[in-house]
Amino acid sequence: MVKVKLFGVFRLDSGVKSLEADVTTVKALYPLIVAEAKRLDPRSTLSEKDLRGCIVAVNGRQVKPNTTLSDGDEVVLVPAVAGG
Amino acid sequence: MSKYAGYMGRVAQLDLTTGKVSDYPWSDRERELYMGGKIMAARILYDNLTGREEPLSAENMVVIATGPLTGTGAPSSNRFDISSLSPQTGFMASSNSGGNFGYYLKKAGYDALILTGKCDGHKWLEIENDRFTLHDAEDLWGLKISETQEKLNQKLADDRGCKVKCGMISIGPAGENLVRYACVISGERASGRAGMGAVLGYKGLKAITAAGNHGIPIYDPQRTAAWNQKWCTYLRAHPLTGSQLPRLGTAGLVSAMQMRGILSTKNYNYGQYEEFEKVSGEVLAEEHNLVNKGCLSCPIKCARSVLVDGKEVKGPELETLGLLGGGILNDDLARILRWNNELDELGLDTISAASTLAWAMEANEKGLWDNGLHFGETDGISQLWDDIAHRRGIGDELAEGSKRLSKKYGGEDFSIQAKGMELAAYEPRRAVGQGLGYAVANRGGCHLNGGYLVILEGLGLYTDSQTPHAKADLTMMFQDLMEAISATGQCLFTSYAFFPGFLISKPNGPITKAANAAIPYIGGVVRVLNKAPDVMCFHLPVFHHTREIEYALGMPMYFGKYLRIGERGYNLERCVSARFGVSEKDDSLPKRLTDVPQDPNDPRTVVPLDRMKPEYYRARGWNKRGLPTKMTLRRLQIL
Repeated sequence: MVKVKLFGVFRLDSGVKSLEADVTTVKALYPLIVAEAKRLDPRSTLSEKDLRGCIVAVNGRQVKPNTTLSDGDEVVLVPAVAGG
Repeated sequence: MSKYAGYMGRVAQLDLTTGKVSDYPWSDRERELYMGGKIMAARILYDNLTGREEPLSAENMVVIATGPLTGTGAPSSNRFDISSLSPQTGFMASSNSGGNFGYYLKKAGYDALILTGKCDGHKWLEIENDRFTLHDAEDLWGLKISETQEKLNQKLADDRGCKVKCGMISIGPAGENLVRYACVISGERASGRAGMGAVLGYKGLKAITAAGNHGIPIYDPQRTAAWNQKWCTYLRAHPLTGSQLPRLGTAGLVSAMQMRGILSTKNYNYGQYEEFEKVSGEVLAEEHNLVNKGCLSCPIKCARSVLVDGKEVKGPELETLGLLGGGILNDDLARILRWNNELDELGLDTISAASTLAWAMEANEKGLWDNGLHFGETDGISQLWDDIAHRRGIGDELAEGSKRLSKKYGGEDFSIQAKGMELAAYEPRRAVGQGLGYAVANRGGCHLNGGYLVILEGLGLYTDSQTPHAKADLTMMFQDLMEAISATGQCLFTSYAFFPGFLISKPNGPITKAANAAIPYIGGVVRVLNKAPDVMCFHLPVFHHTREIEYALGMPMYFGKYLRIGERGYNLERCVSARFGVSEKDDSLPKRLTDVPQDPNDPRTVVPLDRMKPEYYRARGWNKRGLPTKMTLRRLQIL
């Protein structure tokens, strides 16, 4: 089981802050997050394409989206947009 | 008068000692060379300061300058600069704000206001068209910012018999008591950095109001309006300026910085804060933000608005969240909202106040200074801000900033400042180009004046954040570009749309990956462009500023010329500071950032400043002492 946290505008749009999932790759998380967004709000427009545009970190380290996950990992998805 | 539109054509000089007002000569040739804002100020200070003045003295000069686009309706163009010798650094510094004072200074008929001398007692200045009146301010002295604003608005209304539309800047108790990082506030927006509040406080000037009925001329109103519309549409469609900043504000960076390991934590001991989510922009947006706000004529609207004690006040920026969150190991967002408001009301720079506090906590932890301050213990901090602003107890010492405190108590290695100005919340050991920028920035440890290379190193693009390759040349180009944008009167956030949206929104796409991989190898190309910007004798489609200048001002402009104006400004600032002793030794960072790896297992996680700094000087055409050569100054038409 891995814990997933979503940040950035996608979190505001979808209402998904975090969820737990039994998956072995980051990519496998995407449809689960989209489904959770639809469950919270059937009008949600969050798509897997949006999530593919996120930077991914596992246990605080940035990784590639095809990274294999282990039980207990914490996955964070953040859009790559910034400026301050 | 000026042959160029946008300008009001007059610069006022007021001697606060005598009350005498005169016109400062400023020609169209100078407008072409220096544009306005901070570059104009740099030229004026270069022509008038000798190197013998002290920041807190009657002899110091203050230049409050607008840009030619200020108030023209161009996107995010309502800005102005306050420039002077900084009591934090001892060198020239400018502090930029999006408050409405710049717009109303132009409505009063002036592009800039120069202040010299020192008031007899405490005064506030009223400018209405050609009329300059210094009023007694004894009843305002000691008031916080909002109290001052309310009282001055009431005075003006009583005087005229109706509510007066005016611009206003004022200082709080911190400026009055010469706290070295006291700020100046206009509306809700701060000229936060470099201690300009203390400079005005020393001069005995509590506030300035400006009002008038002059129109701001536009060269080609139809084309300008059409271009502004096109530009606003572009900004609103861009993922940075149309989505991220309006939705989350700068606060949205907290989570991205955490992920990249560049979120200042425990006085920059670390780059990640375990409890970052509690003080993130997302939680701010979900639980506290009432409405997005923005400066006049801004389509981005990055400001937050929150409730503190039932009153709607400005929300915190990223720097405040980072430094008063992870920086002192505080995970209570409600407290940060409160402190942010208190610091503004007292007229204190949130960055330097927070970073000085973090230094003091670490000094206490290490047994260097028994001050009762501990990481993670945040009761009593509100009182501490008040003590700093009024220079009471240990507040009197904290008012000096971390550099001076570390010289007294020890702990210089972890005094996170450059030239005496505390760094913003970006931890540079995992963004080494940003580290170079902090070190060499003219005004001290400023992320923006340093070139903001972190936008390539993990906040936007994702090039190798540890390599020094190309960072010196890119730092120079970004610094010059930002310098020119500020001088034009526009917000630096308009420059973020310089990066095509698809690069930002598809970080895992092949084009973005290729761009990230290529950046370390483009140093040579960037250096050629920096040396000969005139080869870029065109408008860039993603950079709208140059066409705006042509349409709104009637001033011929192209990208390379614009960049050269920025370079001229950066060198002028350096020349002013050189008279006050700035040199290579001042372009430094604390040892924590240059000698202690953030990751003990990865020796690359330091800022390789010794390697990048000489490259930066070469790129700039500066000598080994970090000063512009005569050849460089002639090339830039400064000599």
